[in-house]
Amino acid sequence: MTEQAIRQDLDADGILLLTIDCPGLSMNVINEDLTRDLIAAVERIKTDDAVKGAVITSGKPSGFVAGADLKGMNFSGGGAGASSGKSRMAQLFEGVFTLNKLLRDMETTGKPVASAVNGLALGGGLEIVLATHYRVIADNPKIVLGLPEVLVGLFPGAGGTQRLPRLIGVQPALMFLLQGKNMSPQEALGLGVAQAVVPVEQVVQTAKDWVKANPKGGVQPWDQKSFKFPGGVGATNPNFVQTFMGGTAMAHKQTFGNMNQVKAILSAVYEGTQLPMDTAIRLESKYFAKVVADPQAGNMIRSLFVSKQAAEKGARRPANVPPMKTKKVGMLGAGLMGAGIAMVSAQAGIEVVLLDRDLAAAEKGKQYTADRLAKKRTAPEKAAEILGRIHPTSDYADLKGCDLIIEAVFETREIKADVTKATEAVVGADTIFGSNTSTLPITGLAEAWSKPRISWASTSSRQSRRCRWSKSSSARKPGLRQSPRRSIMWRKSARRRSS
Amino acid sequence: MAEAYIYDAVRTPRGKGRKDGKLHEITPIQLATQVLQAIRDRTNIDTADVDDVILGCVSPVGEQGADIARVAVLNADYAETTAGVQVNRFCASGLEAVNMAAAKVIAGEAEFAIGGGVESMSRVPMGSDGGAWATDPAVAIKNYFAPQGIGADLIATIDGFSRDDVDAYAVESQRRAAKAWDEKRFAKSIIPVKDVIGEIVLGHDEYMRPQTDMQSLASLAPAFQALGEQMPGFDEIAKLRYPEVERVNHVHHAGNSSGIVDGASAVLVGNKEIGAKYGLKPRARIKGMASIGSEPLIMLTGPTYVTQKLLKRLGMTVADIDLFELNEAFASVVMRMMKHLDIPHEKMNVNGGAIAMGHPLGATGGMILGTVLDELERTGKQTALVTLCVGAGMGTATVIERI
Repeated sequence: MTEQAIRQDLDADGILLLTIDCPGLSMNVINEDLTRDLIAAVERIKTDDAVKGAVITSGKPSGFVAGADLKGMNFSGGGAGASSGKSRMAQLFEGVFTLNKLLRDMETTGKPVASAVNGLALGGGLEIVLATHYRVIADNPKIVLGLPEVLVGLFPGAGGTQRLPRLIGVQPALMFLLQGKNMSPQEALGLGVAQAVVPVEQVVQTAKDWVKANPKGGVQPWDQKSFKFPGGVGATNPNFVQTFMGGTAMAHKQTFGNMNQVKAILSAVYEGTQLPMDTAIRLESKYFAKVVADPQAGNMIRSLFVSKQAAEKGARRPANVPPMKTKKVGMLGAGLMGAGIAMVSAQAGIEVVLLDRDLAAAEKGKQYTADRLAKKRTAPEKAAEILGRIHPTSDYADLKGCDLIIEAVFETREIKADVTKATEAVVGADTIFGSNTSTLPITGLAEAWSKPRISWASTSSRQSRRCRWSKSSSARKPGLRQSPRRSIMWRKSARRRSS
Repeated sequence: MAEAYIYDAVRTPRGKGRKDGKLHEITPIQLATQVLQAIRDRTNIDTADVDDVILGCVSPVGEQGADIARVAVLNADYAETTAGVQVNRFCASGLEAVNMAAAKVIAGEAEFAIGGGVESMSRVPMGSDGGAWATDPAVAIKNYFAPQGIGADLIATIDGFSRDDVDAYAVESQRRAAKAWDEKRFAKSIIPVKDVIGEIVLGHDEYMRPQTDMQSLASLAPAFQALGEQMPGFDEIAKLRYPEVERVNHVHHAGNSSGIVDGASAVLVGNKEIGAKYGLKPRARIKGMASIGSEPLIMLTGPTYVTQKLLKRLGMTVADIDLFELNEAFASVVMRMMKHLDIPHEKMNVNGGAIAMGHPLGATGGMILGTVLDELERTGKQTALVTLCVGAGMGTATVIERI
């Protein structure tokens, strides 16, 4: 891995153009190559008298930098102090502090550094941008800028929790840091995250022009004596106090106190914004080390990023099975769950046969949709169209032609077995059958079907919110994972073989 | 060990804690100065015999900062040798100050010591001192921080006090306070506050609304509903700690919670000999004192527990106490203590409380100690227990008995 990730081109004005272009990747990510080349680049800015300033841009049309290489992340603590007898936490700190320190070095060489952002800049990518003194973004509303680390159990650990509040104020910064939401170039300009938004072909020249015109521009606002923290800061500042009293409670209630990275973001911003920058970024990295030292972060990255991406790409989808679109679903049981599934299915344009023991119960299940649509003030013609797709019945024969069956009947094996058999008799054993079981193991229920075989599983999110948030922490050890499989589907193996 | 006796107790009237309040123009140091001068002038003691002045103050920043007790000693022209210390036990600061004064006397550290408190809530608003408890995210999450109003409503929810129940309590507090003022029951202890030209600016509790009835209270919106149910939604935090609660019933509002007011109090405590030196008759003996902590989210249950703790240590029961005085931070706080300790309303806050007259945070403990002492003397009763609910789940109590 010695291929060049950052090209250096010194122009006649002494402006060093740093073009990030990770070899072999469609999108730039922060990996070992990029870090190594950025270290060299910062060293050159600092020591080469011919370099008067620098501009960072991307050589990829796909965007600027998409963030850290989550798949390649190594939290085992193999940093510089790996064999120095230091504690695991101290080693972890050194590892995660590398990039943080590097960006701090870049913003304190005294020479102006501008960023020319041609496309999306996320996570560590935006953190590189934030560490530059002048930020030019291409004028394209589709460009997303953001710090989404919180969504995968991490937080911005390369100065993001410190620079964003110092640029736009603690409260707005917390919104982006805690929710991981993106901003557009125009929003960035309005907030002061960007100083210029220009057509994409002009970003480098605009950045160079600024560097050339501002030889003394290499000092960040927070490194100037006159710096005033936007919106105020400190434990007796009323805005600051209100922000944290409210923000902490909101975060607490939304995460039920189970998200390490959310707590770490709050603490890094609360404590760090009251510190000088050099101490603040060290503190940020200490919190980052704490977060990655806990298995929760790794588990969340695995589930919410690596595995999720793989699942979305159909990694576990059987080969040679053509996509199948559900046109007609048979919903067994018109209770709260059945009625709800009937409603969302009908809203998605799928015909629904809603079956219950007697017609009155099935009609009642349909009425649920009518009531909900009325409450949401759905236009009458739209509501009629949706309701028209729900066919209440007590007759199994009406299930004929359904390509998907979902069972949400009373939670006993006997009843579930009865409806399973009665259904198979009508639709045949080759139809996909899903169960909404919450406590009864799916394999046992599947025995009532003549060709049982677990094909795929999905968990419904109808369980209480308290449970939902606690899953990531209870899933620390894969072997002990106990999250209930609530809606698991099976279908016969013969079907797969035949196609 | 020495016994600690109460020789005098004074308090300012309470002014509305707003910009149009009568005491708004009076600085907190002036409030503290005037009660200290009153103690000195009423007892004719040589202040050189006052070893320490302990003043409670809950927002000790700005003009209440920098040890307001010592500065008040100097400003009141006490002997230079009299020390001063400011303490903060949130709402019980004033009573804690008296307890510490008593402890110093009992331990032999002081002959005379003054305990009391001061708070100008109109000039130094509540919360001015910040603090890690509510603001530091790590601390707030770990301790399930929620504001005290949520705790008060949670008590009402758990103990089943309805809006009508708490409103009825508030109406009674107003009625009792009005009657007490009408009959001049506080006359002995109220020190009218004077302005810079020596004129009286306030001689009575300004906050009272004796005309309050159920109808007028019914029109008030719950004060903590938005905070609890919407932004930022503290009810959800409460439910994390109290999962048995399905919904917090928000029953408290400005009319059944303690009023925001300005005021100061001072209580002169001393041993037997020092009183005898000045021919002072002890008004009461401090029989015992205690503080306790309890669950901080519900926050306001401390009075029950600290009362049990103190009575047990003194070998007493609820029946041995003639009068109870519990700061009316919120109606549910008092109702809970009456319910859990089986205290009849006829013995509790007989002359009204902070719902009617207001709660100048740091000063209240000293004020209600004086109120109940006045009442013991007026009715010829013997023993009283004074207690307050305290931020972060604490409670502080004192038992006094007349000599």
